[in-house]
Amino acid sequence: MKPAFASSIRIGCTYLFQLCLFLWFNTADILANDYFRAVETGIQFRHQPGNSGQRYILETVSSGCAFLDYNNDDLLDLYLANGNRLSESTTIKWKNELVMNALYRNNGDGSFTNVTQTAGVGDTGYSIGCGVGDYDNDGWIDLYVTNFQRNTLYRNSGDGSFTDRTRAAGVECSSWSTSCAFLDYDRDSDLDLYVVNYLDFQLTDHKNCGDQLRPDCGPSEYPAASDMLYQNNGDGTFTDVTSHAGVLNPNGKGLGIACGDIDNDGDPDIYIANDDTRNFLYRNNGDGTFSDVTLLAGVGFSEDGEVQGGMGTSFGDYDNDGWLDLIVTNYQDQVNTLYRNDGNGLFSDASYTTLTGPVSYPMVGWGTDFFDYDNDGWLDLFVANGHLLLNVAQFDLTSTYHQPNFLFRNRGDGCFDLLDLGISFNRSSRGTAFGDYDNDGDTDLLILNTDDRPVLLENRVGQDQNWIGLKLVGKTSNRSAIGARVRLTVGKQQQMQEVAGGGSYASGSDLRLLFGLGDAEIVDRIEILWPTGEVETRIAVKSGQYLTIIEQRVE
Amino acid sequence: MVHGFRAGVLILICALPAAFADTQAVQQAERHLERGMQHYADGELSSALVEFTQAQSLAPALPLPWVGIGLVYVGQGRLESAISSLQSALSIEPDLVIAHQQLAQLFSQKRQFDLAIDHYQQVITLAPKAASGYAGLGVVLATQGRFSEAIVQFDKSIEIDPDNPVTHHHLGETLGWLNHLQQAVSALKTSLRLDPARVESHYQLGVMLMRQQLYQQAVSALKKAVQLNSRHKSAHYNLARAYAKIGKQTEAEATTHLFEQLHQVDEQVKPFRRRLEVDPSNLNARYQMAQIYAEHNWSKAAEIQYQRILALQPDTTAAILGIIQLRMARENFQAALEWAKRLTQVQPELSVGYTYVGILSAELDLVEEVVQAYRRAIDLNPDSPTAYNNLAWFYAQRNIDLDGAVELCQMAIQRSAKPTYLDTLAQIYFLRGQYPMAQQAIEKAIALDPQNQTYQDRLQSIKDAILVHD
Repeated sequence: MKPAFASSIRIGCTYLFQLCLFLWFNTADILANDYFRAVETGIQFRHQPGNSGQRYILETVSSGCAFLDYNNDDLLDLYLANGNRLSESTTIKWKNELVMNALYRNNGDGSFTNVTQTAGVGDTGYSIGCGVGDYDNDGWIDLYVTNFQRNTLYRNSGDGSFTDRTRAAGVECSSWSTSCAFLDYDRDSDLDLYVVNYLDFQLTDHKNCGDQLRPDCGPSEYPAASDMLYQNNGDGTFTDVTSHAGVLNPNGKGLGIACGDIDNDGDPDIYIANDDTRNFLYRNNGDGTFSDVTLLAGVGFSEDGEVQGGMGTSFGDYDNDGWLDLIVTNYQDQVNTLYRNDGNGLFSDASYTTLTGPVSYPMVGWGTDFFDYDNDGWLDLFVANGHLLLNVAQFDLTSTYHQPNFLFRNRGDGCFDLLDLGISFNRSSRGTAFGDYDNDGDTDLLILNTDDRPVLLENRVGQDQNWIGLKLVGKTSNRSAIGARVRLTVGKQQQMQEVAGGGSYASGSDLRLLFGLGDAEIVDRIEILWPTGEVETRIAVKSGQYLTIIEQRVE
Repeated sequence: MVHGFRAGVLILICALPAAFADTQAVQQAERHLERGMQHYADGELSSALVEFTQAQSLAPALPLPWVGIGLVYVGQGRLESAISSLQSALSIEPDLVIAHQQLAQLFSQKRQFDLAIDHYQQVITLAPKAASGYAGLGVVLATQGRFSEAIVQFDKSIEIDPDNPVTHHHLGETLGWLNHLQQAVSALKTSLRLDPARVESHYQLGVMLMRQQLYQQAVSALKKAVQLNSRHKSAHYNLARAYAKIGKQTEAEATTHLFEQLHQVDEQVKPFRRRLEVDPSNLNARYQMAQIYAEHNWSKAAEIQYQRILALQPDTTAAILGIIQLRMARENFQAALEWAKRLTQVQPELSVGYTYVGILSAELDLVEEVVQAYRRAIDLNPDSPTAYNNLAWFYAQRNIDLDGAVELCQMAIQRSAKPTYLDTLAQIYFLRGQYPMAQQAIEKAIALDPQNQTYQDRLQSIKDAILVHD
């Protein structure tokens, strides 16, 4: 009996091992739920956080991703930021060609082709994030990559390749950068660049703080690195205006950025989600400077006035009242904070009353955005989750490294319902990009998972409702129309969205705007407020189409 | 907690089996237990530990000494040792409610919620009429985010003990997590009816009212919270928010300013608090925290940390010194003197203890003790100028033995020509009517510290005296 028993165990183990291998390599095939389906993209990219064994704090924040149409074929391509292998040595050699960022061209049939080498965007540094925008207004989307140490500005040459213009443009920012955003803060019709920096940290600064099981030092053990604001000079170069613009703050440990017009005065304001330090809300004064209005606006702290571990952030008008609200994802044992814009310069903490906060308490939240997944006319909310300590479950039974991501359905009454995405989606997720990769009229998700493969989630429900997509092209305004605001009226309902650079965590999303219309087949009115201040309207527009609107006024 | 334990132990001692009580060893053990409880109640954890340990060795079959030892370890932040001791108690007496209760709290603190729940369920099984088991279980469930289950437990606890404000508070807070705001407000108001001075209930009531956008009412609740605890950071934050919502901009800004001040202290202690979360026995982190609190005149917070250091390591000089300084800052010289004397007992070869005894005895006008203490300090550390100068100044203040004072002061200056010592010398010469020498000394002090107004005033007095004398 014994040998046979042992044999059956061995057979069982072999079978299980094979099954595990099968599941491991075919994860994408089985990922599906009522809302999303993981696309079998053929993408071989795998994120590399470092795996040095040293547990550097650098290895915890992971990376982001972007949707961008780099070749103007109206199909969203994918850019994936990657870390790099780190050794026990504190000397970094950034020449591991096997680990680099990747650009995948959308073939239009659900498959993607790796074009990293031909495009020349395979940054081999330790990358955290990326941002997209046409900074030189030539009609081709450009790319900025944030790194630990030197960042990279890739200018799109328009022929399928990019050129590294970092040094010439003066935007190296040799700090530990995380998120970034293109925005036209001075409304001079070219895109400026805000770079969010995290810690003033080198690998040689690494130390241990806890015990053998949990030696990791948190961000409070390291000094902050100030963010940078670069003003576009209009000639391919930028000027560091951080101090002059009033956004030099040495106390911020920045991870996320959202840009949007919070006070409806026509210019973009900036919100920074900081880890372990209070967040920043910079109100644009309209004269090239900003004022830090965080405390009086009430968006710097948790409901209890405590500093949080801010990670990702985004603006969105979830209650359709015409004012941009704000979501900030936070560290474990803190709730994600949803700030409702009261419209008078003040925000209210609506984390509990919207029911989006409490459920996030055990999670570590990262990429996030408001988007209308079911096209019912109310912005829903997605939050990517994942712990940053691989062995967290060993010392904290309430947590796990892989965590479920959250999709909250907006009920339209000020509350959200958490939808069950299913356990098979659990990863240690980080950056998330939002966009309609298959142009079927609903928003899909690109999620970068730490030390794992990214996942492209195709929306399965949005196309059941009516929708309209808008691709705005600036003429007098910046070409990407970043900062343009659209008010859309269907019956009694009004919706508002802005074209935003930044948002989420370390990621860049589709610059087109997608509105859910429910069962309405005709949009009564579309009003476009361009960054220049010009207003254009369209009336009685048919649903179910992507409409390209080119700014009319040409000087 | 201390009194709760004491009461619990008393009850349990009364309930000891007669067979145990017959033996002499057990009777001795009981006496040690009693003394240990007294020390524990007085916060003297090390002495309590000695007594409990003796009780345990005298009567190894008694579970209560292990409970006492466990509680001391809890107080000292030695959680693993505490768990081990309490488990030893349970291995002797598996139905010991107090041990289950303490273990439940410890496991909850260590975020081992499953174990915490197990022990609370034991408590409930063993003492189904005790409200605390249900309340404790409710807290653990709420901490896990199992709010509805927590509410069931709180309700059971309230059914048994409807007059416990803490349970009503927990119920209110938990209802808030579920967005049942009106019920939350009701529970918190009940908590406040039972204990109107309960700061956290005022605060949580304010928060619930904020969520309901009842800002005027929120202001009232939050104002009470900050009146009861002026350093309640969260209450200040929400009060500022509530003022802003009702358009009271000036009050909003002023309260925000107060919040920011509190926040800054919080930020400074944060790294050390994090280290203590990982290792509650990290003395250095605790000391750094205490120092920061002391710098900001948060005496109570500082003293708590110093006392915790002493609970872990009773002879820690830095902590005793910290407490002496805190008491001095509050001008509680008698208490400070007692601590200074304790320092001389703990570290009899350390001159600084005697120097403090000298300083504090001088404040209390205990002349003989002043002289004795400074002389002892000088004997122990003849190279330190402080005691020389202090004693010289003491003589000068009382206009006694001025010759000796000059000699002492010169000894201090030989060791370190600090302006303050030169000032002492100037004052002594002045008292002796040696005005030119006094002027010479104070001018040297002024050369070293030109901005010091005291020295300037003294120079003027000396010059005036010279004029009169001439």
